[in-house]
Amino acid sequence: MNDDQLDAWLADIAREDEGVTAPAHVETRTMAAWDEWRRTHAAVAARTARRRWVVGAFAALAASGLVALALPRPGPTPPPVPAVVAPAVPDVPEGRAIPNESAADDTAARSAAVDRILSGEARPEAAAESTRFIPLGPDLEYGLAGSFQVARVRVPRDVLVDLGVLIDGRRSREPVQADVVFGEDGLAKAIRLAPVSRRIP
Amino acid sequence: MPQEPPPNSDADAVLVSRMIAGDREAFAALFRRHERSVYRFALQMTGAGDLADDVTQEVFMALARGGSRYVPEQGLLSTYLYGVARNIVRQQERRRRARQEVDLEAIEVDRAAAVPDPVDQLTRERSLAALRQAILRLPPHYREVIVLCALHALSYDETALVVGCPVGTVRSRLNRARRMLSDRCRASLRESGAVSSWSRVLSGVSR
Repeated sequence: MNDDQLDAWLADIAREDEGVTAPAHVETRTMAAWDEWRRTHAAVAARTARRRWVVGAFAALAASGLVALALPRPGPTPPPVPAVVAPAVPDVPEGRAIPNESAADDTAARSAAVDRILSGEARPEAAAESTRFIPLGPDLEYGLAGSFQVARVRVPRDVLVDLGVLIDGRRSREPVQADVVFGEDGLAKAIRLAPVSRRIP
Repeated sequence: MPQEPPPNSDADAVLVSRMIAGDREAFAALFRRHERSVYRFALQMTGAGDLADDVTQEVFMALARGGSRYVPEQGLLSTYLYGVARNIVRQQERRRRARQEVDLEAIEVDRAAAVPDPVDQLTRERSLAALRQAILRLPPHYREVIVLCALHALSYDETALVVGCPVGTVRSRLNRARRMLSDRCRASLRESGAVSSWSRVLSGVSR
C-alpha cells in the first residue's frame, strides 16, 4: 500500500464518519448530569464563600490582635486587659477541651439571648450563659495545647450566622464586640460575644 | 479532506462565559455545537459506541466544571475539547488495561472478519473496515495523531496543542503511524493471499 492509497482510504473513512453524531440519549444524560452538578455546586459554592469570608475575617483579626499585643504601650498598662482575660480563663482552661456547642442545638434560645445582650437588656447571668466560647474549628475537640491569648475585637453581626446565631438581617453590618481566643499559632480558636457589662467604652 | 466549518469562536467564548455563570441553555448550545466532533473523535479512538457515549458526556461535564480554564486567546474551543477528550480516552484505556479488559478478542474476530476468502467479497467497505481496525490497534500516541490530522483535518499546530507536544513530534508520529498502518494492511493482504485483488480495489479508489 502506498501513501496515496492510504490517504484515499483515510479520506473515505473521514467522509463516512462525517454524519456520525452522538445518540440522543447522550444529550439527555449530559443535561441531567449538568442539572445535578449545578444543584450540588450551588450549595457547595455558597458554603465555601461563607467559610472563606469567616476565615479571612478571623485571620485579619488574629493578625491585628497579634500586632496590637506586640506593640509597646506608652505609660502604665490600662486595667481593661486583665478584666478581659480573667473571665475567659475559667471557660477555657489550658489543655482542656472547650465545650463544642453545636449551632443546631439551641439556636433560637441563643439568638434571643444574643439579642438581649446586644440591646443591653440582659442581666449578667443571662449574658454569661449566652456568651460561652464557641469553637471555630474541629481541632478544639482535643483542647487548646500550650498557651493562648484572648483579645476583644469588633466583628460584623453577620459573622454570627456562621456560628449558628440568628440575627436581625436589617442590622447585619452593625459591629458587635467579641472575645476571641488565639492559639500559639496565631489563629483564632474560639469566640464569644462580649457581655454588656464588660464592653469597652 | 472533509472538514467541518469552524464554529464561531467568539460565539463559543460568549457561550462559555454564560455557562460559567450557570446558564443551562448556553451549556446545551455548546453541547449541540461540538458534540459531533467530540463523539466522532471518541468513537474513532475507542472503536466502541458505549465508550464514546461516556467520553462525550465526561468531556462536556469537564467543560462545565472547568470552563474557566478555557482561554479563547489560546485556541478554539473545539481544540480545547479535543484535548479534554483525548485525556479522558487515555484515562479510560489505562483503566481498562489495568483491569485487563482490553477487548483483544473482539479485535481478532473483527480482523478475521475483515480478511475475506472469496476475492469478490473484497469490497471497499471491507477495506475501510480493515483500515479502521488497523487504526484502533495503533498505540494511543500514534492513533491520536492519525485521527486528529487525517480524520478530523486538524493542522499540525492544532494537533500539537491537543496532544501537548511540539509540532515536530506530531510530524514524526504521523509519519510513523502511516508507516505502521501501511505495513499492517499489507500484512493482512499477504495473510489473506489476496494481494492482487486488494491492489485492484485500491487502484480503483480515486483520491
